[in-house]
Amino acid sequence: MQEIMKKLNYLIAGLVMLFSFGNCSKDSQSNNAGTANGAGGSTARFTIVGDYLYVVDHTSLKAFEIGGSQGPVYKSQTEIGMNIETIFPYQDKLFIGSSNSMYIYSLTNPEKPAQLSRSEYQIRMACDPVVARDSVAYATLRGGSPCGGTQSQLVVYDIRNVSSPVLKTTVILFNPFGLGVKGNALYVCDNDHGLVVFDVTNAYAPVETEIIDGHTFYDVIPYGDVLIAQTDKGIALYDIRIPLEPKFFGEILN
Amino acid sequence: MRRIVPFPFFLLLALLAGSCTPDTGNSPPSEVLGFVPVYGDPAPLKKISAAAPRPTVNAGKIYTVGSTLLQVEQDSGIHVINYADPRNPRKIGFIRSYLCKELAMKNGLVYTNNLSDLVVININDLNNVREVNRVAGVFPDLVMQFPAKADPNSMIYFECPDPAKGTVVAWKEQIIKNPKCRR
Repeated sequence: MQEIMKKLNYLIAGLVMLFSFGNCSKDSQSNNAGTANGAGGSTARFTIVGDYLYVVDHTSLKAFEIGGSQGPVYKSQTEIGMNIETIFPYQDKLFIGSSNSMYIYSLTNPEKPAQLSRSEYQIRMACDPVVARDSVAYATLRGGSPCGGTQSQLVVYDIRNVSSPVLKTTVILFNPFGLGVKGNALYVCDNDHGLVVFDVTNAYAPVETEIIDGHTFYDVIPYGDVLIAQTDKGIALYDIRIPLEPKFFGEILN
Repeated sequence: MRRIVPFPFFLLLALLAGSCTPDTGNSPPSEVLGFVPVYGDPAPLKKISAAAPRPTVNAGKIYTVGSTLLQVEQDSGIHVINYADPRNPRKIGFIRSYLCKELAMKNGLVYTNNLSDLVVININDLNNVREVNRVAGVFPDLVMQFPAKADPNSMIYFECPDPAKGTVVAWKEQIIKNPKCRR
């Protein structure tokens, strides 16, 4: 019986690890303020806001102060929920994606983020990075193997009241991974279907304007005038001085 | 007493947990090209070092600051790419960090994982890349390992690591029978 339990423990450990790193990769982007700051993809589990490094594992959020010369100083650990997958900063908030929910945390106290809201998705078992700007949050929910679920979609939340986000729109997609937003453009990596460009002039009602195909897209970072896209072939760069009209700059092959 | 937990139980658990795990009802193949863990001494794996640019095999997450783009090479390190001329981006270096999966950067300092440790690496001078800080054991999740997937859409099978055998230092591709682990 002991051996059974041991085996079970390994299995559970294996599952936990499956849920945590690297399983449902989604990436994307964003940054909090100007190009002096860095920006990661939407599928990141690390992010830096001001003098703090935030890290999510599969259930919790850890905060480290990195402003001093002594290296990272551990500040807090906050339990969030199950199957946490991504973290995305916007201004004084963190948007955290799990397999079934979007969480918003306040950084009013940067040492100890506080939960503002949790929005449960209507479909479960999806892979779901989140990005946001002032009044809106976008998340892709990727169903199908190996993510489970049956549908893939882009969901749009009105977050003008951050303690109570309202689902405004759902757009059916094929197999979405990361996403990013710049100005009136939303970029969604729809895997081998291409990079889908949406006009979000009306933030809550994205209108598809273009699909850039030819690559399999996994993640994007809109950064200043450049859209950095991770594809199956390498890294492709696009000129997004006109956000709704990405123009191919160049690429670096794997 | 070896085969205690049947594969469907694994699936059931996965479904209950509502995670990103296959929901297909297929049983595992009796024989398949998969991966087996290679065990070894973790001490040498804690060395952070610079290396020449190299091909990207298992592309991972990306992070950018200024005109520098960093991309994780899953489990082995970070590609350093300069795109000051976005028409001609180029790899300018590589930083070795074993089990690397995540990263962020600020003020020339890269924050990443090395095994389960949080490490801070100064990359202001690529000829003098050096570890400047380390916080041990921050990411216990990362020590539980699985082989990297070059194609996120694919399903791969592998022999489940046995912590009793030590630290997994690599994965070897070979034919395996009745794999209990997959992702």
